[in-house]
Amino acid sequence: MIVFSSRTVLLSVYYPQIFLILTSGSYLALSSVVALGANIICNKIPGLAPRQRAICQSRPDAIIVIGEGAQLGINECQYQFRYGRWNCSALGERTVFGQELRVGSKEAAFTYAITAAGVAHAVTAACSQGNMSHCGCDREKQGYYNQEEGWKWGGCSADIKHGIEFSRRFVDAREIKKTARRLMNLHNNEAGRKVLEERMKLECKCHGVSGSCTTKTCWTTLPKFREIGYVLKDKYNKAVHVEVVPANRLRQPTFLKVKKVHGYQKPEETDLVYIERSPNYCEEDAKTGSVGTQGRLCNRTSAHTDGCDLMCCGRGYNTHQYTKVWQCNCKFQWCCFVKCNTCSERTEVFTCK
Amino acid sequence: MRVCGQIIILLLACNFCAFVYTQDPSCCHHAAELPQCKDACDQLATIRSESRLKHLLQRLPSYCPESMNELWICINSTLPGASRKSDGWVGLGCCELAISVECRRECKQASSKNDITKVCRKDTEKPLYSCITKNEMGSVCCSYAGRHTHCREYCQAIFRTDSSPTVSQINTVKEYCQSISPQLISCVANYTKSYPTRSPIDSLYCCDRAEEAHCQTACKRILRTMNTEHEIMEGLIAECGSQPLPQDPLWQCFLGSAHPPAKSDPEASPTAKMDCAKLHCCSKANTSQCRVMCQEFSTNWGTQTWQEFDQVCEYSPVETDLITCLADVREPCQLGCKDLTYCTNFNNRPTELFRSCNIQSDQGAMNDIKLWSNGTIKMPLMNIPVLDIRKCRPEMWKAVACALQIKPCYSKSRSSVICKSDCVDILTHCGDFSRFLDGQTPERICDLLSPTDDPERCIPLQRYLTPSPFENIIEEVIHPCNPNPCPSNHLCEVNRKGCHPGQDCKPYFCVPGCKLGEASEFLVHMEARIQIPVRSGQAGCYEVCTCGQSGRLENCAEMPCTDTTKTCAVGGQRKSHGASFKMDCKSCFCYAGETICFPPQCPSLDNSGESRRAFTGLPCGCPDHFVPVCARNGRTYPSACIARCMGFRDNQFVFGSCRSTGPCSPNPCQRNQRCIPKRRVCLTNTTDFPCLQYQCVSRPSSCDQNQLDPVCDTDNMEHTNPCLLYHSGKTLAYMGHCQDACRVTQEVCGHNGETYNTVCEAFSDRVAVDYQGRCHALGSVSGFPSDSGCNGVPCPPLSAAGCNPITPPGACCPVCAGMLQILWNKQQMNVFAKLNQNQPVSVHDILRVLRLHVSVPQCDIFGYLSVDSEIVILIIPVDQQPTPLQIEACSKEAEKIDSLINSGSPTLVSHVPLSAFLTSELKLSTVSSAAAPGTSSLCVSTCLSLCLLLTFLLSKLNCRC
Repeated sequence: MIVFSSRTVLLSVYYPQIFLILTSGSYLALSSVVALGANIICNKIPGLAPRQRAICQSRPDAIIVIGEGAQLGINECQYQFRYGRWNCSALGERTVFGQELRVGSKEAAFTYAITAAGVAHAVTAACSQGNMSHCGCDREKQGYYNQEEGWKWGGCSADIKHGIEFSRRFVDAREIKKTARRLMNLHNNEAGRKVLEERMKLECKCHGVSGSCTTKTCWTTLPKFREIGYVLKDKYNKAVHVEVVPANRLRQPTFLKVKKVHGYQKPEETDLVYIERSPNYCEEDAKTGSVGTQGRLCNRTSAHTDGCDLMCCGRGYNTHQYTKVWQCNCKFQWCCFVKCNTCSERTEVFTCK
Repeated sequence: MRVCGQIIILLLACNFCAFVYTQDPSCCHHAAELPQCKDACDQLATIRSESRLKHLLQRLPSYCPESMNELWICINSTLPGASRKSDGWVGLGCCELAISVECRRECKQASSKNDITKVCRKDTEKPLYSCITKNEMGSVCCSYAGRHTHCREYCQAIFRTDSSPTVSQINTVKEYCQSISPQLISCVANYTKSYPTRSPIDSLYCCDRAEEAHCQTACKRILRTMNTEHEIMEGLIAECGSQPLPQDPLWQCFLGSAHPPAKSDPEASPTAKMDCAKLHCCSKANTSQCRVMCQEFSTNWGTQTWQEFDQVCEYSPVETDLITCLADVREPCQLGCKDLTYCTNFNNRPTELFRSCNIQSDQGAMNDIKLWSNGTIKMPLMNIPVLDIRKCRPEMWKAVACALQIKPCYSKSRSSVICKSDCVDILTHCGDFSRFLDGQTPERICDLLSPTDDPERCIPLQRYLTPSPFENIIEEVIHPCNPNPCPSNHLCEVNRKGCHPGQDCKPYFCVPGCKLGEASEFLVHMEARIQIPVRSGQAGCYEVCTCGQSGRLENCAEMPCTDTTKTCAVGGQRKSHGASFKMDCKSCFCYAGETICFPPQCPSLDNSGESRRAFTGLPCGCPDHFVPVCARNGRTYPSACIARCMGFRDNQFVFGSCRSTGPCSPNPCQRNQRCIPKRRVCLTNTTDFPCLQYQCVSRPSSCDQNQLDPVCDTDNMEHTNPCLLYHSGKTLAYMGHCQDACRVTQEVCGHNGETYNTVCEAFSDRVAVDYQGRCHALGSVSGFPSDSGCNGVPCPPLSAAGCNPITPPGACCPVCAGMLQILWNKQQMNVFAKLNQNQPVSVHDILRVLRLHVSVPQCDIFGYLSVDSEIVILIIPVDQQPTPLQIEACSKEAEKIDSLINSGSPTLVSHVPLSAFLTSELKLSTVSSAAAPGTSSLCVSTCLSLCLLLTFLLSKLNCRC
């Protein structure tokens, strides 16, 4: 017995070296000696397409940024639709990009556009902050001098092209099936990224002490993501109903045209497009991806979508009363502390039946 | 590849000491008949804190009679460390790794590996077998050490660790065993060669990122016990209840560490499995036995030697330093106690220190009283028979139970011992003498339990027999961080900055921190530099690490070791390292064979008329002229004579005070940079580490709007942070919000002898005000009365009537405050500067760190370097008219810090540069009790004079003058 065990030990002494030689050149296998390797984590992340999984395994640093980007999109979606019957909440198990909506509705269009833009935004930001390998500031926008306007590129311009390319490579990789929905999703992904690209800002800084600003250094920066959220919300309100044109030999959907228009009119590049009408999102329905509005907070006096009448779809509402206690009237006192009182207030809250 | 995969499993399986408190709740059904016992038993399973678990285990025998054999056998078998077989077989420590219950039981009862082969199957119990193999290997290798205990211990340490042995461990073995047994070295080398890899334990820090507490604990348990990726993965998904998502911080951490170019050097965090805060304490042990045990549980958490430790060390009178130090790490003394429902006499005590004022302890005291009512008090050392305590002095017994649980910290000693006279008194009245053992008397019992009657070292019960005198004035002194409102891996910091307008403003901040090792519950601030003992625990050897953004200690650099065995020869006597003593007028400290004294020179006290006339109480007998010079260290000295006396050569100081000289003219910075005065007083050698009084900043391209650190510019405009101020091209006047009172220049003289334009500037420099107007005199230094130039100084009236004021050294006017005069080690300061890219250490650095230890927002900290090079710290009420309670709270804060410095507690001295502190001397302003109640009404009488000073500070004075 002892002989056996000592052999095991010998094996464990010598095998790692062999193991290293076998897998030299492949970092992936080596990384599996830490608690958890990228391979196994990526395999378990729900909702990734095979190509996305491959990216995750080869670039675990990038998947972190992608996750943050997707979350940025989801959070913005929830912010934009906080007063709507559909509030960007999902049914069932969470995935990287939130729950996919089954119906090809305007809402689905918005989620695709915002997550694609979110990923591009996060990747670009991570690159310019040096948080991601294989990318950095925009090399093209360095040192070039614009004679007419009297400025030159300098500093660190956000490399939006790389961010968009990365988003395209990763986000679009989930569209596998050749269906009408695929065309719709790809269009909306692209629209979201396009909106982001168009909103890139040029920032400049004057040189010299005279204040006349004769020479300037300029660089591009990312817009605040909230701004993208508002633009896309606007696009959502004006979303275009489209239908597919099966054009090729196999009668597969190949491109989109605006519905109810004679002749072929393609939707604009930055339009959000949808192929099906939205459900009313009043009742819970797994088929349409609606969680319903039961239990949602509503505003009794509002006439908008957050008002109890609209929000509760006519089902009526419950009134809850409770006392809220918090530290209030906090004042900074010199020198140097913060002093608070305790306040309480009885409040009423309404939720949909 | 398959083969390789298995090898990895084998490699990972070697972490065997990974015990987790998983006391099986099923044990508790044995206690079903006794509800008290059942409750206590159930609690065992839920407790997470090590100290509470320990506490409860000690008390378990009083809840559950020893006759309950089944229960005790069950607990002993499931709770690692509860029973330690001294003659255990080599694989005993591995038994927890067994997967099947039968195998685990068999393993624990086995005497050799052969005994378990029938029950434990090779193919299913891989972790167990590989652990046993490792242990066998260890026992073979280390047996070569023979009688050489050091060598054997270090050898065993290599096989005992949860994961890969560190380079320093391997080197230590080489060092100690080289000459003893080459066989041992090669045997160990064979084993260590197989460890180029990392184990799951190295990713433990990721667990802290999990958002939910149950997921955090589950993650730690899983990483400690599971060995394959698949097991870990499945475990995490099941316990945390979610699939991995790249937006989840926990998985981000794992994904980040899985990133191929492993940036982090495995040696970067030598502190992984340790508790450095406790390790720090081990050097305070007086017996080698306790020291070894202390080091064992500090470096290798999970081996549970504390049972033994408690019996041998916890009640040993020679180990009080060690025990107090460990208590400080576990349960630091905190000001204030409230919201208790049983020990109500402890409530509303805002100026007293307690270790454990919380609901669990309150409950514990109530349970203790119930148990004691049975007629016996079970103490760890003995049983004390008592009469019915419900009838005999019940209030006194309640105070005893509460004091033992809530643990008031008594000033100097910070220990929680009841005074001997109280102990004798209550036992004489209520002890059941008929059941006393032979020779037992109340006096003898109390000698063991409460050996002291020194009012500074014990808790007088009298105080807790009645409710606190403060019922309704609690608002005067608040404790925003007690109880701690922050999540587990965050530190609570008192908000002294205010908030962004319109934002939710809380009196505290929660800031992320680093633990001092994975096994530690002791947190330090991010970016803080921390001095910790080296892993080997060698006395006098420390390293300095930084708390990084990752929440771990990083970038550690070893400091030169100090020889703690060297003694100092003082006046024919030998003083050991660490001893402080008085010599003539000086207070001295023996540090590694060197005697460090302050002040460096005593004024000569001979009685010749000439020198007596010349006697000024100043260093080197300097005259008390006030012709200020600015020395290279950034301090203004009152005269060239004193500067010379402090060791500055004539070319190392210039005439005029330091603040009157402009460090930026001529401009020392590059052309594209701006020079900004940054005045500081350096404690380090000015030749090696230049004490620059300015900083060169490039014009910032963008600033973080959200960073709140308000500053006021010279035009009295407020900016959110210094970056924004510089960005708009303004000049800094002072840190903090703009104050109306400081709009116009009103010169004040600070305690450091420096003249400031406004009181705000002085406060911003963390210096308190001595008197109005320019500085023109030097007060007495080193406590010698002198009739110096202070006579003509118009001192402001005291901030509170009835306070017994103190006069800081070198100052003219007395203040109501708590004062510390700190003796420090210049050599060590120089080492810290060297390890920190030659950045000098300044008085501000010290004050910044110390300020975090002041927990009462109504007190703030000020300080300066005295003319004879002591660090003077003042803790002053921030209110312009402090109440007696506030003055007392500040005194308590000062007392707390003083006691932490003098006992070298890691709570304080693990922070660089405070580690260079040697001793501290405390002076307190006490408020005379006659004046204590209703002092605010007294303000009317002194109001007129007070208002002269105060109206410019405080727009709303609430007394009408």
